[in-house]
Amino acid sequence: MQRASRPARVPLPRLWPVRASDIVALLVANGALIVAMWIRHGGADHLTSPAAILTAAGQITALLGTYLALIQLVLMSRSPWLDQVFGMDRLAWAHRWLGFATVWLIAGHAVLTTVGWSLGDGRSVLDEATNLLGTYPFVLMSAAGLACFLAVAVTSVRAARRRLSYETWFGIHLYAYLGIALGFAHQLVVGTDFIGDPVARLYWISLFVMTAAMILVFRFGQPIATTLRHQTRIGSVVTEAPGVVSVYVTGRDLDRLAARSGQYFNLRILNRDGWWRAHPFSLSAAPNGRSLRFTIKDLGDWTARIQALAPGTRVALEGPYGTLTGARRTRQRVLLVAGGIGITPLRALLESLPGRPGDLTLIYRASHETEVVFREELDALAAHRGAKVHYLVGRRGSREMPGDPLDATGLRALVPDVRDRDVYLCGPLRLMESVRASLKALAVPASQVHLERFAY
Amino acid sequence: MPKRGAIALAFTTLALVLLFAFKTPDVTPIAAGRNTALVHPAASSAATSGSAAAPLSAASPAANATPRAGAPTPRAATPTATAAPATGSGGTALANGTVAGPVVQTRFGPVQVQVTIAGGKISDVTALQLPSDRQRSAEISGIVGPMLQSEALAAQSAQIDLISGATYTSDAYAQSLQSALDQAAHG
Repeated sequence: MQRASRPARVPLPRLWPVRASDIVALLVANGALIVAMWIRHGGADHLTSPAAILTAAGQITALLGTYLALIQLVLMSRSPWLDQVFGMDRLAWAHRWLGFATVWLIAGHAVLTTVGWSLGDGRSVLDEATNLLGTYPFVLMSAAGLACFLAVAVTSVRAARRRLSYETWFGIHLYAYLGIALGFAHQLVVGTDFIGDPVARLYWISLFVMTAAMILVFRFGQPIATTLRHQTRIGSVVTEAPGVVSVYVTGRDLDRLAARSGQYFNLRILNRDGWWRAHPFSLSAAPNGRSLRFTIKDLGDWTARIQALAPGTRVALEGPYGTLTGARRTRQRVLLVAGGIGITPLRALLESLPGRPGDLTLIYRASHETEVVFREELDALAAHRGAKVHYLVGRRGSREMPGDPLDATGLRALVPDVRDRDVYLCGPLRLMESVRASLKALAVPASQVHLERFAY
Repeated sequence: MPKRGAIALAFTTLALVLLFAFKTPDVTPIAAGRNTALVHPAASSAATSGSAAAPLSAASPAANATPRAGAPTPRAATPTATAAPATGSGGTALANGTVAGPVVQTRFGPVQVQVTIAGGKISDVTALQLPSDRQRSAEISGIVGPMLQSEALAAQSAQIDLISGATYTSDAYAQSLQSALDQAAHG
């Protein structure tokens, strides 16, 4: 592989003319429409008794909880528009918090409706629950759906999540799809808002259909199409440092695969024990049209397993994703700050961001010399592009590095013109937070700071 | 890990099969119950036409039951023409007066419809009984009662569309109405 060669011209991923405000407006408008539908159907009428109030609350929580559940699927649908506007890391963060809200609403619906109806009927809650589950069509099914949601929520609580392997957690998470499907029938058949209102039914069904379409297209269709189109395979696997490997993926017409430096793909090794899970890999070199280089650091047995992969093994590519790219640039000069293995996307950016000599500066923070990867490559790239590279190696608090080398003073000493630069950050959360604080102290506008969490 | 996944998948499939199976036996006895209820249209004490109910009841439930027994899907359950030809327009003339149909039991409660004929046409349809045992049933009845009434008046027959979300009530409504119209035609 030619290391410091000039990047080839590979098509860039399409930039969608979508803004965050458009998406938020669309989501809020639909939420308002649902509330309006509830009010039009008399949802908020006659709130005179506790029974009526609980029943009404049970209805609105059901409608909004279900809507939120669909939004959850949309957030995780790997839609390129959403990725471009928000970035997968922020989507995942929103997904986490909205997810708990969703489950609270749906569980609230079950409780409020049962208690509300039992008060209205003057019967015990148990009797009402039995009546609901046994008499009303598809309500038992929806109760099973609620159980799925609860399982997903419980396993996502931090304490539980820590004890579970990623695979178990993810497997249980898939039950959210089942939960949504199981709840669907009872909404249409029992839901007050859909009784004798074909327009409301059509609208509700269309929400589900559109969500399903987004998932099918972006989670399944797009990766399958990319993989079939480019026939992607493992070219070679190279050890860069202890526990750090680069995987070169080759394939057909890779010069037609749109991807940018700074982006990542989810890679799925298509062999017996790899096909069912995908791992995110950052591009660690600018796409050159011949191969894609991914570099990953892994503490588990994954690294050992991937090192043993035979060249020619088929891989499925999902992506590209990620917004830590040149598209977010606002200034002529750029500072890249990498921590540890966070160097991978920044290494690709150092290679391909347009710039004159002196425009690009890289700060590479690592706690030990053995954690520095790509040293030769970085030096060669720096020489070739007229970029500056600062290696800051050592443990904070040690004799060589008593303070934080990236506090405001340290940062200004290294890059005096930092206020007039875009800053791309990638690394451990703590490093990113402390650098962000330093940048704020140095009055670097937030619009010039670009970062992505866990996207390597 | 894929092995555990396979086990989970097998259990999930089994649970889903059981869940779907739960519905199937639940529908049949209700349908049967509905038909047997029709054998007792004498319960329509409000019948003013004064015609003997017994011979009519023998004919109409049989005619009603046949198409419905094999159609568990709610959509297909709209009553087809019974022994009496399409009422109102053409066919047997409807006698003026007010006729109450039989009480039809649904899983949510009884349904009974009364029809008023004036000048050979359906001038009014009133629900004497709609499910109201539970608050929820009353709530749904409040929504669908007027809808069913206007449907029947517009159709001038019992050939009314089932209302989604209230299929049992609509079905029973159509049955009771049809029987009432049969009585009016023979009366």
